[in-house]
Amino acid sequence: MSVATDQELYEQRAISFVDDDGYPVTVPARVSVEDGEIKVRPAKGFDPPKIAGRRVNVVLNHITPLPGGGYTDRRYIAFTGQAAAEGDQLVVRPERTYRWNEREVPFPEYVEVSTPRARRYLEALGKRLGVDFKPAIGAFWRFFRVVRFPFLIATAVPVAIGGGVALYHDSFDVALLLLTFLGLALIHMGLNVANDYFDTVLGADPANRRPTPFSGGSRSILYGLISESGARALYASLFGSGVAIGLYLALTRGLLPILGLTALGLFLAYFYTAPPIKLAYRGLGELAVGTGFGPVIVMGTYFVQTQRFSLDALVASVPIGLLIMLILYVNEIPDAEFDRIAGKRQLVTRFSREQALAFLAGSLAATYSVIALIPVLRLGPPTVLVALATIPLAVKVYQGARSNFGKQYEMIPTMSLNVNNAAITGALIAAGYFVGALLGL
Amino acid sequence: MASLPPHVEDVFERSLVALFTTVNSRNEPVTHPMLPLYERGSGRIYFTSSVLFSRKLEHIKRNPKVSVLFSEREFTRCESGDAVLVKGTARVDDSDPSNGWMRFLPLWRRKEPYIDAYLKQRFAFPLFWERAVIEVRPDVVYVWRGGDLDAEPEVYDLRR
Repeated sequence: MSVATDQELYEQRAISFVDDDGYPVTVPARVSVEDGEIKVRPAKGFDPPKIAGRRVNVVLNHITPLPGGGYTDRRYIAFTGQAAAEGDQLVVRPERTYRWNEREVPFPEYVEVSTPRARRYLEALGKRLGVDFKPAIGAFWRFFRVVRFPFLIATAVPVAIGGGVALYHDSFDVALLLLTFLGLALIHMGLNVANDYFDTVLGADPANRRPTPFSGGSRSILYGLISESGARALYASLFGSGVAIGLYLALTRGLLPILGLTALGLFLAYFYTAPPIKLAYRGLGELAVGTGFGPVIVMGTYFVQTQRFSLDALVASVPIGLLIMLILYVNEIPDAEFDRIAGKRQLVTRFSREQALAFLAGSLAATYSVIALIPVLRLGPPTVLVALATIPLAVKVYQGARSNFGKQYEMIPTMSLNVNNAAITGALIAAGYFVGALLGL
Repeated sequence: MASLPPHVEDVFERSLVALFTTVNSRNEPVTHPMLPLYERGSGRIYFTSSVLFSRKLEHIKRNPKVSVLFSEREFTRCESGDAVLVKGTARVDDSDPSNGWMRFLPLWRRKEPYIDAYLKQRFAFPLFWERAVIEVRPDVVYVWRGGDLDAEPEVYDLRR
């Protein structure tokens, strides 16, 4: 096997073997790698004849100490093989190696690939001690992580837009708006948990070695924060609670339209990843998310307020639908490599790099074009044009995706910027309607 | 039991990394770099190991004989440059993986001052913070003064 390695990268060098007394021994040593062989001169006291003929580990290790304490830049490599004496040194022909270099395998990925081992260990320990071990994080943080709480911004913003358009049309009730948000937030959290559950059992999340805070799911089931049956019960109760609020709103504000929108939203939320439809696995997830977080939420919120539909609300829903679809879409870029393995054929996996970037650019252009057209077509107040102020952010999102396409961890700032762009642009659209209404524009 | 000379305790106390070796089921050595923790006068070297990297814990439970190597002046942070090899007997305490290791936080903090910032984000890497404690009782200690590998090591047999 090849033992090519940059020896200069490792300062700490040693050879390990099991001594006659049964103790393993790790002796500091001079180590050089030459022509596929490792030459070792162990420290005095453990001379080559004592070690020759044994199974050994030759270990090279490096850390970079930090001036303020601690260290970074960890890497080590261990060569395992049989040692033979050659003059005053040992020669090892390595049969296998194990290694870690955090520049090659970043710490989060190292943790991820080791997760199944940790789960097995805790399970065996739990059986031995008669305890059900779960990672110790508080109930709030557990819930926060399991339901992916921060993602509720994707529900809050279209609800605000629907409320803003309603106020612009002289109809607004804060209590109804909050109740609408609560119902939709419950369904959104149900979607997140169901998505985690099905992506776990269908293999997409376990296949993903490089999840980020924005992609790869919450990992809650994989980390043992919640069981599979617990996740099923949780998404069922979240969906159930959200539907109960939808039923109340249907009975009080308009039966068929609200029931219809609730049913459509629930269908899109559940079958986003659930078999047999698995919209996300068929390249339809983006359409489902754009429809659900755009027209369904904005029109639903508008209807609850005004008890009618309007073209204005429908047009207002398009930019936010596109932007939230793009949150999903940009977050799919780092997942694509692993989604392909799991057979999750989301849109990015179906595109070449250039096609994927063109779709991103086209969707962003469409978003801002629709915003610009709203006052031109007299479908909303001119104040919505304030949302065009985020165009520089959108350009940065595109540039970031172009520069870091296919690089999981390097994409994190771009994914973050993309979420911010959607939230800020959506909030400015909503603000445009509220301010337009208050100014009578 | 004999005690360790202060210059050896200096190395244990100050080192940022040590090569920790266990014996696997094929009677082969398996070595990993780890952060050693030591309190002067305690006579025990401690490590905490995440259950993510639990193979070494299984090795110790099967065979408690281990070794720990401290070497390289830059890593031991001791002017002496001494290289120290410990042959020892290890014990795994994994009875409380969520909290049991936290009694070593003050020692850990001394070597990695930023550890509290990571711990505050425990929810981000929950399994990393499920940890077993490895306690090593030094049995025989070899010291190469000044890190001179060509000199005979001083040997301290602590079992006597």
